Amino acid sequence: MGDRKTKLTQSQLALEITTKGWTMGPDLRDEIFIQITRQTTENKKEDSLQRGWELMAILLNFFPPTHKFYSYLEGYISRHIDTKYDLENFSLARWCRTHGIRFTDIVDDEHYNHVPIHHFAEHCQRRLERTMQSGAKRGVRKPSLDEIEQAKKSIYCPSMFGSTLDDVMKMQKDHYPERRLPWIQTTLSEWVLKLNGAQTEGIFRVPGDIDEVNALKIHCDQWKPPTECIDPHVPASLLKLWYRELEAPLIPDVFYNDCIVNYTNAEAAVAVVNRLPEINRLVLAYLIRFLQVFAATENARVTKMDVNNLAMVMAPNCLRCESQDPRIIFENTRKEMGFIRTLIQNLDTSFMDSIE
Amino acid sequence: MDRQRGHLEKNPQDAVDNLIWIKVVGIGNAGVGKTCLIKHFCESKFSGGYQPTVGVDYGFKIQNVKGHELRVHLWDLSGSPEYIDVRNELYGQTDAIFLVFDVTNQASFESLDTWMKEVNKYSSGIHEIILVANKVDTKSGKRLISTQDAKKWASSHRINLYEASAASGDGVHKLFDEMLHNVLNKRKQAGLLPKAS
Repeated sequence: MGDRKTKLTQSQLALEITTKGWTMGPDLRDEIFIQITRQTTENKKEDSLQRGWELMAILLNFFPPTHKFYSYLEGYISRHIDTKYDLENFSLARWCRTHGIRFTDIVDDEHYNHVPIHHFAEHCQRRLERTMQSGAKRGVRKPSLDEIEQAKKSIYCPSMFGSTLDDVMKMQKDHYPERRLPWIQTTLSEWVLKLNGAQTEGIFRVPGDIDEVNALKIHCDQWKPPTECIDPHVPASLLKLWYRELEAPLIPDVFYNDCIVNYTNAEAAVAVVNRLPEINRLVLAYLIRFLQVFAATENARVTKMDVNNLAMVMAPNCLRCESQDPRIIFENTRKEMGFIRTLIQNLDTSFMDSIE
Repeated sequence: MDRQRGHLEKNPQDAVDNLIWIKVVGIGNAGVGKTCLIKHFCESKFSGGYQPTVGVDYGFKIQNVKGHELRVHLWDLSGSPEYIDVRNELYGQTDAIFLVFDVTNQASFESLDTWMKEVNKYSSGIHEIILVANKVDTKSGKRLISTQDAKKWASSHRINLYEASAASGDGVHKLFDEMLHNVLNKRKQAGLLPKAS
């Protein structure tokens, strides 16, 4: 892995292989996975070994193996979760520093000096389980370099952004075992209110300073509240980003059509919410309750963000249109917005009172 | 009309071929006034209402420039980051882009670099790009970005700066006129223009 010279960067190569496997289908996918398992078996070259695992982790973001090959691949990966496969004579501390992860997130022993194959294997295992359930990446747009980079980054820096709701809840278990809602969601929402966002013109429409938003993102990923922030547009922008970047949309794809069809039908719209998986239902209800605060006349008068405007800026963060056809996208945009407006106006969110 | 029944004076296909269509796209942060600028140009109206653009909006105007009747489509793209997918689909075949920021909003000025990146990524090859400093009328609020700062940014990207206010109407027609003028000149140079009627 990375043993032969080439003009392409590693990410470009990864993109090439990913795109081939994604477009050509199951047989080639299995072949790619087989080749990687061979290249990572008994490979004593640190770099090469690490690249191989990296590539496996990246690929598993885009497609699964066939069911036939699944059990072999699963076996191979889970075997490597054992630390005995980690490569010796290697400065793990340095490796962690260069990849921006905390040493203690991987091992407890500070004298540990191996390529942490088990870290890759754990990551691959989670990816494998997910992709077996969800199948290959959907849509007609080929994988992009950005997506490859994002997939690579998630190996080293687990983030509350771009993960699934389940992952976010797992991540916060150590910090906030009692919470039923994502800490990041409630924290950012509360800060928008604390900074007087409910009385700030254009809240949720006007973007916050992009550098401040990025800085706050990193800050929050370390479980720190945005205490130094003074502009409500900054946590507001980050909050929207969190919803938008969730690995699966807040309202999962299988419910999308129900939302589009029932965008003016209050009863049916509320019924869709009640059918959502529990965590999605709670997170969405919290969001709607939050938006109801802003939709109140005394706030909307100042913010100029009435229920229509609020629904317009929030809908694309909750629902994702799968279609590539611009006409369908346009047609649905207004329906997506209508659905969120219907919820803001009709969803009884009083049951969220005691939930945090 | 003085013509033989059943015979048009001109071949309709020729007439259609001779029309000049121009596609103009407006971009910039949410709330900087893209929709208002387009509305003012097309209808000489200003609405103080506050309505974010959903995905994309659209304006059309027939404008006479140097004896040519230009049919100008103005695509009003939503500035929200949520709509990046929609925007990317719409950059194709664009003749001119006007990039807008709000002189009373620092963040909208600082985002210009990000917007230029998006332009370069999705619509490379468009040579007519201008920068519009909007809301220069004093009623809009305190001006935070000076003409000098804006000029500096514009010249570092080798594009022209126009100051305008969609509310008072100052500068709006000038910027669109000059932009269309340049587009027309470029088409002329490329020999892509039908004869002026």
